[in-house]
Amino acid sequence: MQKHKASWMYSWAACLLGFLAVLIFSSPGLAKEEEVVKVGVVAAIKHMMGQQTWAGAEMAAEEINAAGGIKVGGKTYKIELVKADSNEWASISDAVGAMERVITLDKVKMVMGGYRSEAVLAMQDVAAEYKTIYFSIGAGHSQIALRLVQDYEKYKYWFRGGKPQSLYGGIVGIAVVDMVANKFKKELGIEKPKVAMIAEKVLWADETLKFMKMMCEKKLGLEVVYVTQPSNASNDLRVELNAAKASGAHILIHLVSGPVGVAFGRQWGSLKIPLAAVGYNAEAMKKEYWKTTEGLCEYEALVDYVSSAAVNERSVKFWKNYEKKYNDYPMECALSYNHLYQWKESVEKAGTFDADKVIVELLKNRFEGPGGVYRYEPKDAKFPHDLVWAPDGASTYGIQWRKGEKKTIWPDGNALTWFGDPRWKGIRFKGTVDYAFPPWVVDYWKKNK
Amino acid sequence: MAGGSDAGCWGKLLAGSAGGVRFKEIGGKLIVLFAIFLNGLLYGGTYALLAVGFALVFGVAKIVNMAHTGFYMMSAYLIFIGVSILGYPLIVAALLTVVGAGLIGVIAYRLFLDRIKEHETAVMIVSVGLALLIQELLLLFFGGHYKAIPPFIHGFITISDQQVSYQSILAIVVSAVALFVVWFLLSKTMLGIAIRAAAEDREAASLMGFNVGRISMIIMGISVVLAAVASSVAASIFTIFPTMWLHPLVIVLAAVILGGLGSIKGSVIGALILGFAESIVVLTVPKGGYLGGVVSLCIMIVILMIRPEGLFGISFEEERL
Amino acid sequence: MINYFRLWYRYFQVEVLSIPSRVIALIFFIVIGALPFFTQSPQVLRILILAGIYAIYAVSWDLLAGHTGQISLGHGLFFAVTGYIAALLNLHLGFGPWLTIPIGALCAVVVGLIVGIPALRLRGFYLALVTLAFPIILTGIIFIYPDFTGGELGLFGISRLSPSRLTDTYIVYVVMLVSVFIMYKLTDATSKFVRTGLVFQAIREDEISARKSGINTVRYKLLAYSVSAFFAGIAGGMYAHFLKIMGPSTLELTFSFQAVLWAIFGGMGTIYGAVVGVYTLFPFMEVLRFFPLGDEIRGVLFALVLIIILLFMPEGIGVWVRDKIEITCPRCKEINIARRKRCRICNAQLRLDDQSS
Repeated sequence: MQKHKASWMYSWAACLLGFLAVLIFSSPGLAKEEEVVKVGVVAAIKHMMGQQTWAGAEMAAEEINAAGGIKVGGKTYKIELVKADSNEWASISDAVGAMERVITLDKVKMVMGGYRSEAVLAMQDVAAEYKTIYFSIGAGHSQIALRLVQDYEKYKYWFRGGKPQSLYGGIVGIAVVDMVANKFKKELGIEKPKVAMIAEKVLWADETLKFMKMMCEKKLGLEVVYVTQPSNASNDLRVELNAAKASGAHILIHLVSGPVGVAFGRQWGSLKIPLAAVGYNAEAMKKEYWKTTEGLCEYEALVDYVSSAAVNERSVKFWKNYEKKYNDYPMECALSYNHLYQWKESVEKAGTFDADKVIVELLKNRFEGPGGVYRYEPKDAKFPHDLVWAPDGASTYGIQWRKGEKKTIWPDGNALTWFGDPRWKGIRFKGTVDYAFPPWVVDYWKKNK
Repeated sequence: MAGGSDAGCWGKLLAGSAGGVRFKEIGGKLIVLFAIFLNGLLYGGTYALLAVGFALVFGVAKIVNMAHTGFYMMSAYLIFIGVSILGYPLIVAALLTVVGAGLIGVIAYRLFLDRIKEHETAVMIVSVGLALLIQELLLLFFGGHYKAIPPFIHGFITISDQQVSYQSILAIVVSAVALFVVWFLLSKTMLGIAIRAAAEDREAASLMGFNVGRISMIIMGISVVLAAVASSVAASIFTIFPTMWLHPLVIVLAAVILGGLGSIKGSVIGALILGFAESIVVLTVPKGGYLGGVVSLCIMIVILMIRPEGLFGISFEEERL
Repeated sequence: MINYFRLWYRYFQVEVLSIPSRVIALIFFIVIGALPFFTQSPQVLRILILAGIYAIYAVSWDLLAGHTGQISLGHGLFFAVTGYIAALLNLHLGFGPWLTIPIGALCAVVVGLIVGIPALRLRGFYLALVTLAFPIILTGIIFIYPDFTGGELGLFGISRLSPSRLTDTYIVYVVMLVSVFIMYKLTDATSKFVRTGLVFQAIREDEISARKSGINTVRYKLLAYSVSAFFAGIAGGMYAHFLKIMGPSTLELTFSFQAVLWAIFGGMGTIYGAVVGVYTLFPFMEVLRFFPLGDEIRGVLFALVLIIILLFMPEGIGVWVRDKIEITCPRCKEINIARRKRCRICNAQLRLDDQSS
């Protein structure tokens, strides 16, 4: 008996030593780099955003490699993507570690990924330390760009990717609200519809909430009669929805990103809350949202960063291919596609992989693809290296769920002209439809003028 | 292609917002009392079901089962699998899950918890490990995506101008019925007497002829069944995701402590108090979204300061300072 | 001069070399200390640094829970408080890590007392729950004042611990050695120099009797909270400077649980247990990422390892291993290698069933 137990101990000791050995010898496992250039994708692969980041990059890499790869200095390089789980929702330190690993161990020349702004701030430091070009995909916080103002030379390796700063989402949201308000006026005779707002108690939603409230009151002249901020851990909005109804509001602005998103669609639809829902709902952008809400989300209007409408030639192809290959709609993070292309083009123009020289070319690059024309703010802009938001820049779209599909409703041709921004006049992509009221909203407000 | 900073009006607005525009929320203005009351009942009832299960296991088997809400989550996912992937009608999936959950509870007890019962801290950690195992397996298979299960009854009625879904009424009714069944079981049946005896004094109960080991097993099964029942009605109202077990765990622990260890009645009342507190705070206090959990815990601390053994708890021989 | 050396060597031979667990500890610390000479891979250094920090954190929990019996489920509180204070001092006042960490740790001590005083009245499970509440409350407060505390985004841009990662590793290493040693001495019930270890154990075993024997249990319990908070704070401060960011993630339930998991996995109530727990589980989890499916099944494997090891070694791995290699003499209470038949000091029979003379 004694011997039996002892051997247990020895085998355990052996395992421990084995791990230690792996630790020591796990250092540089180089792959032959002659014809391959590695690009790191560090994202939360267990979550939708991370998976999309990877998917977009994968599609771009396959297309680029099929077309011959990257041509630098007389040689042709194929792109090899290195996937690393940032685990950013559970541990920032893991995200930092993952990024460090792909840079130092896998020796990638560029890193993409990072959705959670808290993690991106830490990952920016890694990019600065190792002087590696880094596109954060989907992180929308303004702070990230402001760091370049404080110390450009240190942080210039970062570029915002996926979607422009969060607040532009708020701008488009207001534009859609305005569109809906006009419709209330025209079709239901309500001159100044009232607005209720439900926003998750999270940093990004907090800021967007303040911004949109101010815009409603000052620019649109609409009264905001109810504001509530449920916790982001909550997933039940019945009371808030009922309170919104009781407040007499006509339009409901909702800003949610967590599990509440699913609850919103289901409860708003099943309780037939008589407010037109407009907002940002991370869950609502997925293809399976329709099924998860049993179709109750129909008529929910949202801000989205990719559109199925014909924004430009590449966007239509991208949407189709993405849906076919991954059986889901592409969302903001799938636009890592654009950035890989942009990096490839800049590397070829600069003739080298050297980050400093590539950055110069990146700042000049214009890429027409899904999401609009991707280009970056220059060094002396208010938010350097941000994605430029404009009709001829990265755009954002208003969409609405109709009959199981996400239909584009904005820009509708009149976009933002009444805000004094003339650049959007007449812009309406092929495939855009008009916004439609949920029928129960029409019924309710016809009865309760 | 001039720099984007000449986006004119937008630049100024952005700058203003990035600087932090202050405003006050209007949360306090619209206190919809009835909805809050109903909400409190719903949360309180669900938490009560979970708390009772937890308290029973703790009382009889002296096991702190940190995986209790993990089983609740597991049941919700099982129902989801039954309905969405296997295509069973909801009622069938729910029944199968309730039965299956009971079995899983018993097996988990025998396999994991029974062998190291004497080492109380090790048991607690193993139960944490179990909860983590469930969470990680679910993360592996379902990712961080949020799922939902359909309600038993669709639709709603309008009470005092509030749309109340039938499902929430059903959930409250089912919670009440389940609690009643548990009470009946505990006070009127032989099994119930055995359970109470074992909870009060294991050795004496054993001496009196009760098979304490078997009772522990049964109580574990009952506890998980209660969790499964709770999930079958409540989970369709909430969303399902792999970390959904953490928040209810804190509330359940707080409820049991608040009510007093060793008192089933205490845990139910504790759960109701906390459910209502959470509901009220979140909806009436500005910035309430953050404070939901905090308030519940503060209530718990305050009451423990006044009465260290909880509201209905049994005072141990060790006195206070 | 030579005589002193001989004396010291004799002492070393008796106290350390003849006790297998101490030999292992010695080898372990030498290996960990020498590792950076062999590989400067940032990954390995990072694991060493974080393991060192977490080891201090876990040991501080063990001091409180394992030795004094105050099971705390909210230990991340002290860790995070110092991290935040250090970050704030660094960002707003420009203090360097040598200032911010000690000051932050002292703040953690204050917090430790704030937690300790209500905890005096509570026992067991009740205590555990109350300690669990504090980090959650602090998280709420942090979110309410985001301008000052960085809210969910946390604080970033904190200065480094030292100019290079290599020096970081050694700083953490030395601090860990010193901290663990101090905590070991403070909890060593057999020490003839420091009484606290014995008192802590007395409090853990039977507080009422301890009080009746004249021990001021209040003072010693508060001491335990303070020391534990201090060292957890040191760990937290180093963490903030190493990662250069500090967020509310360390206040989450899971982080507090980690300390408990590591300490109990390695062996609760023994300082070395927590160290063993951290240095086995943490590198294990990190190394898994290098393997193909590693990233995805890490979590499942962690849970499985935890459950299975605790099922077979419920006292903890460290304790289990130690029981296999050592035995305490029943007469003179000195530790011997398990293979011996007779005590090395008093020559008594080590095992009752041993019939040989």
